[in-house]
Amino acid sequence: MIELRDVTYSYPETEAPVLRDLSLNISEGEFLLVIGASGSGKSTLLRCLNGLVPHFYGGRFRGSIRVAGRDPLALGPRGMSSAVGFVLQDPESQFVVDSVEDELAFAMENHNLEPALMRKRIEEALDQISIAHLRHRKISTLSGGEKQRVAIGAVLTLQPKILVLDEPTSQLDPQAAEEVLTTLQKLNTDLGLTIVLSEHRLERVVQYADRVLYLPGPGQDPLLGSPRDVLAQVDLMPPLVRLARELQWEPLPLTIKEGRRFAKSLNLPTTVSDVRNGDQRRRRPGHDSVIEVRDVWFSYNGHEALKGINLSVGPGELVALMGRNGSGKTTLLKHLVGLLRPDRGHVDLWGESTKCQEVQTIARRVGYVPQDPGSLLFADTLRAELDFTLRSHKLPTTGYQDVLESLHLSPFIESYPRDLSGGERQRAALAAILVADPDVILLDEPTRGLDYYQKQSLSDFLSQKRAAGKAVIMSTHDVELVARCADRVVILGEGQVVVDGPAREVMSNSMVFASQVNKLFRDDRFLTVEDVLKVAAG
Amino acid sequence: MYHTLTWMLWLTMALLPAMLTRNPLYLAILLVAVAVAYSTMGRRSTMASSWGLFLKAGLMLASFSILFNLLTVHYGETVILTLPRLTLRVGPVALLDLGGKTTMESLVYGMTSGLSLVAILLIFATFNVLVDHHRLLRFVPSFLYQTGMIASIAIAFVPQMVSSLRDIREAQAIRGHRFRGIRDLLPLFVPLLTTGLERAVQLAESMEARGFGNVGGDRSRARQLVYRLLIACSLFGLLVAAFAYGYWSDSPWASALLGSASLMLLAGTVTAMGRGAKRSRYRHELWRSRDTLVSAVSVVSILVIALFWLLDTDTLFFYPYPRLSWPDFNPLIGAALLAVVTPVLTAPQMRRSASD
Repeated sequence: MIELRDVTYSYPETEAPVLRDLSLNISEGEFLLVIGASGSGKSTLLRCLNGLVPHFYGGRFRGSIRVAGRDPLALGPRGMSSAVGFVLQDPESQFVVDSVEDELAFAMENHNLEPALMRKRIEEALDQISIAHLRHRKISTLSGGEKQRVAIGAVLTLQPKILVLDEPTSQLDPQAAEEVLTTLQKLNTDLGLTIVLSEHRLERVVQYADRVLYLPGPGQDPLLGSPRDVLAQVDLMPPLVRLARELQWEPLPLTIKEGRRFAKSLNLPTTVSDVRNGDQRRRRPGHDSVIEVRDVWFSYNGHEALKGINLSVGPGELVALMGRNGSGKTTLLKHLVGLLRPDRGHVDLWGESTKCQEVQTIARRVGYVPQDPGSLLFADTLRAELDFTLRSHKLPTTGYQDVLESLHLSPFIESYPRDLSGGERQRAALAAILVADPDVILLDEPTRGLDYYQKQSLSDFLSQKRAAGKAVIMSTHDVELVARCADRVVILGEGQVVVDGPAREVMSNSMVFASQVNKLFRDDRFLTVEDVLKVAAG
Repeated sequence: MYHTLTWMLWLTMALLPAMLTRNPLYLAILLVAVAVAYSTMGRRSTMASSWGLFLKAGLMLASFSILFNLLTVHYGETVILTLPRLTLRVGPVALLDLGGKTTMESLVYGMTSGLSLVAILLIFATFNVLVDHHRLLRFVPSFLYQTGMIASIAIAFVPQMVSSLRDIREAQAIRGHRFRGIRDLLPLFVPLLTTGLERAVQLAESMEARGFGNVGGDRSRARQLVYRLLIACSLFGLLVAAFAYGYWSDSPWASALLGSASLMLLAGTVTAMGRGAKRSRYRHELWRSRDTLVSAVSVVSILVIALFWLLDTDTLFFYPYPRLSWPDFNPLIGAALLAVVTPVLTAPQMRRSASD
């Protein structure tokens, strides 16, 4: 179905090729998962399959490709559009029209299909991805998961043989991601569509994939094989696989269900609770609080976003804010830095209300990193970005080596921030805020689009900051990150605090917010791989 | 709620008298009818907020029209007050002649013109709220479709840009950025531009990957040239017709004939050009019996207004100079204007959303 032979490609105005001598054979009806660190050429490879590379991007291309019996190099993306359906990462920016039904018709109109045929195909597509109930809705009113499903439907109407998706769930919360992935699995098994998917969160998809392609980055040979074989060799792996490899479980379990069998036979001592006692992540009682939120109410456009929130956070605490999209996490974070002021109630920082302080003054001591790093970065070099923050706060423009070192950004100090890969960009935004060394760090969804390495280094960085006495509050859907570094979990629901307690307790008492390792053992001593290894070793 | 073609006929029916008449009685009836149509059907729509904007713009234009007429027109017999006169001359031509004698007649004429402007804007506002834009776009001739599509995407970008500007302003404020001068615009402008561009590139990728831009069709140079010439001719014909009407307004037959002939030529050319483009349209709309009813009423109303305009110009055209008089009122025209509310009367009980 897909055949690549000796493909080498480099983007215009760059020397080093992104893909080098890549050969690949994918058969019909296969579900191929493409993994690799950010910047390893995943997106580039996917764009080769429908001719966007090199037709849309230019650059130097060598080698040959056959996809569904056609040549993308000769036909280009327009000619390939009826054979290859292509879905992008961002659910916001791939829609042409604002109505679901019209969006589904768009591709067919471009191909000059008969109205009667269009009508029939739209009905089919609506059923195939189970969105018939959305047909008359405006796209702008849909949730992220619904949008991505409409985007899939919009390419299905041309009845392509292959569906190519570039990290379709990286911008979605876990529930929405699940929706999209089950849809894909159904298309693969029921219709026999060949699916090529790139994805960061392996724990969600690896069970559906027939084969996995690992791209290690330029200069190294890619790895292609069954999920078990590939995951046994690469260091990009979900917690379950990491644990299994540490404990040498054979054959490698890919799902929690497969893992439970091994977990049972592990026979860990049940009485010793040294993990809990030795855990440094305990809330120190009796400290002075830095942030004091008392009975805060806030509404916009007639929608009540916060309904009587109470929260108190002290120095050296790392708090995770969790909860569904729209539960008020971002609204609460914006209150803590004074971007929003409560309708009722008080937000006090170091005993002083935010109501009578300017945002710029608060920001000197409270660093808030918004979700989209793109709204922050504007300068020509990373150095200029850092200088800008320091100058705005009237601080000397020196001494940012520490921040750069700990965020692994030192090599990029002179690069153009917007040219960096997703994860590097996220870290650059982090550096641009944290260079002023704030005492409180607020993060909004810091792990979107990060791979396992980057998440690891982020959690190390945050733990380091907490140890230095900073208060950290992050809103996140990423259960594994929370399991690894948070002291305390606050779950919001409909603008209210539903649960507020120690991370270990909250996570092991919940089905939704439990980490992979915790799901495996269902024991509050084990949240992370390290927890298990410590007990197993001692 | 109604078929797009029905809405287009409705627009013509409402717009025709708004542009043709200066009679304040007719304009008042029209305004009330449009307001009723909007308040019963438009308010539920997601676009409803645009109505206030149109109303504000209309009132501003109207007050400007009244002021301008009052200050620059010196005809009429009922003098309200005399202002100091200011004349700006270039050679023998008076460019601007402000102040002096201000008359009741010029005030009334300014008000009726203003009323007509407000009516036109409100009709468009109502149409804008009630019609589905993409369906409307599908009635645009094929060779213009590409351009129309791009324009509609560009318009959709504006609210996105506004919301990302808000995000950027917040993001820079929390870095301690304060706005003091033009130089401080850079941290706002650069991210706005780059995020907009990134979004545009993604959209372009998604559109290409779905085959947008498969134009095909007849592209021979000679034929394109002929089409262009025909379009130019028909537009010129329309222009001549408009001038002819201005000069010989007492016998509008000749200009009406020339105007409709030019329009037919234009429509024919455009259809011929469209036939070449290889692009189909998905028009999944039902033509219900209420569409037939509203369309029939619209056509009758249009015919009545057009006949009055052709045969009896004075009835539609209210002229207050030289001395103010009470405007005529013809019940038949009044009835034709009231027809603007028909869609309200035949609409189904409002249970579903207006976009349905």
